[in-house]
Amino acid sequence: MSTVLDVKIPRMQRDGFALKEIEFQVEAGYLTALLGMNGAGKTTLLSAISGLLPLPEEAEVMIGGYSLRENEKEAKECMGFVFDDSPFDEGMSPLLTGQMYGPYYRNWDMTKYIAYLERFEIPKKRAIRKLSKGMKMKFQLAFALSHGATFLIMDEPAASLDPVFRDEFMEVLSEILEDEECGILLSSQLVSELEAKADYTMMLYQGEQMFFDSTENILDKFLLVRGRYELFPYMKSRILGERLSEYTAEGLILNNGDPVRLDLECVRPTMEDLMYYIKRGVIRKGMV
Amino acid sequence: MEKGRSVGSYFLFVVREGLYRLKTELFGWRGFVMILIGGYMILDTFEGINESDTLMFQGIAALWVVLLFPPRMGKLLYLLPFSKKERVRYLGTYSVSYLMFLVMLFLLVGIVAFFASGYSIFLWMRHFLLCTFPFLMLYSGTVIDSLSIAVRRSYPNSGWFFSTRGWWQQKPDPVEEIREDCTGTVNATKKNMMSAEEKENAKKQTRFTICLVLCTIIPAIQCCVSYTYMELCKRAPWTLYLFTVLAYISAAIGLYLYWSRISDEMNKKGSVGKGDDVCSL
Repeated sequence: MSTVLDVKIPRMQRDGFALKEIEFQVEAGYLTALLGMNGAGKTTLLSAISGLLPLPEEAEVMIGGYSLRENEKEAKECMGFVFDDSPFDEGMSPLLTGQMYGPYYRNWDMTKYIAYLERFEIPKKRAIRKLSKGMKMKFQLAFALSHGATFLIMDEPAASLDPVFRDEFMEVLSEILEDEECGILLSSQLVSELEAKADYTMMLYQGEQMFFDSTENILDKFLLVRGRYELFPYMKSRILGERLSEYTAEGLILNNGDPVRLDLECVRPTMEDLMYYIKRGVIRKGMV
Repeated sequence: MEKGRSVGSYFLFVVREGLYRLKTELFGWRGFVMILIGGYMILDTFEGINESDTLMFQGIAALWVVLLFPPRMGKLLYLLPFSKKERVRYLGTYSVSYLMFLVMLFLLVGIVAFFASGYSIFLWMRHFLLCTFPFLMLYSGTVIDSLSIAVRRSYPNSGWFFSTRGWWQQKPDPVEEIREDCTGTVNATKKNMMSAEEKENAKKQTRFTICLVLCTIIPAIQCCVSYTYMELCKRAPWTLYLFTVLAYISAAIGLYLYWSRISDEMNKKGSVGKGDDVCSL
């Protein structure tokens, strides 16, 4: 297992918005999800990692073992990108894009690129703007894979795809990860879907890294207890935060192995639940 | 198997890209407008024969051409594997080639006009060099600026020419929009929260914009109202040469301003911020 991305950003400010104490890694063969609410700083972070925003002096981003600041060229050789808003000229065809921009990469392989286009059933000579959203994503993926990227950065790639196409896209990603040569950092609002597929999760809130760990570990750290509200006072000392409805109540507790009352239903929270409690200030930095 | 080549063949790249642009853009609606402009420029030379050496439409055509062929590439410039030095070299080559591309378009029309109307190519070129070229020259600065900086500063917001797609197709980033909505409430106090460095940068930006506007005015006027100029210059020829010199000087200063800003930006480090002087969302 090798680290394909190592990010350390103590502080970075942009237009009155700040990223604070960001530190995480992406390993080859694993999918790391970058989650957060709107305005949490996901796009800013991805822009910084991909070199679209200048990094502050104190920050360090290593891609494939190369520093983005000192060896930008080598670092970018290792990075592939798939953005919701494609950076390529939409008037060009996928074939022409490959011919035009591919050769800038040292390891560019045109044969491989054409093979990927065929495999993903992307019309080679049709203008990119005429491709469907899903095809555009796959085209970017084909481009990234054809220059031997070991790290893929994806910003909301599945946001506007229909469920069938989304599944297909995720399947392709799983295949890429199987080889254990490439690691993926994927930001998305589709929390529930990513929860099932991501090996690691990085949660951002107000520009701050709330937690970064394996998805299983994060979810195992907490428990949701549900039941009648009258029973809650007995657990008051353990409940970190609660969500009340007219008849039932739900509370978040730390899963530290202590028994829970049998008359309360006890379930593992989802990432969406955790996001709710982060927003409420119940889950704070350092708790996971 | 076609393996990647080292980045160094910028000229070839740009020629290839230029040919691609010619092929795709001239065969689209821009091509149609270009034919109209070219046609009118040729008709204009017929008019010019009667009016001695006045070409009314050439300057206006320059504006149109500039608007029709915005520079492309945008974000990709920062995503492709370029080192800082290579990126600067690429920008330089791209801009010069872009200017060459525009000039060649003009010359092509000039040659056609020469053959069609018998208008003196010398006079046509004279008009071009005196009135139109300073403006086009300044525009090459806009090209590198929009390719290198504006995309970085405006990302992920959309701007004028700054995307790989046309500005008319741009959709604002929804996340950024929401963030902007949220920041709206604190915008009033944002100025007070700016660090000294940020305030200095804002002042610098304002100074830059003012200088650039001043530098653009003379070549733009020279280009747009060249017809009126020519009429005026028949009576006082020295005014034309004086304004031409001024236009070239302004364009050169404008280019220098662009270049210094680009150099600054290329060597710029990100802002770290101090203490709690930030507005987090």
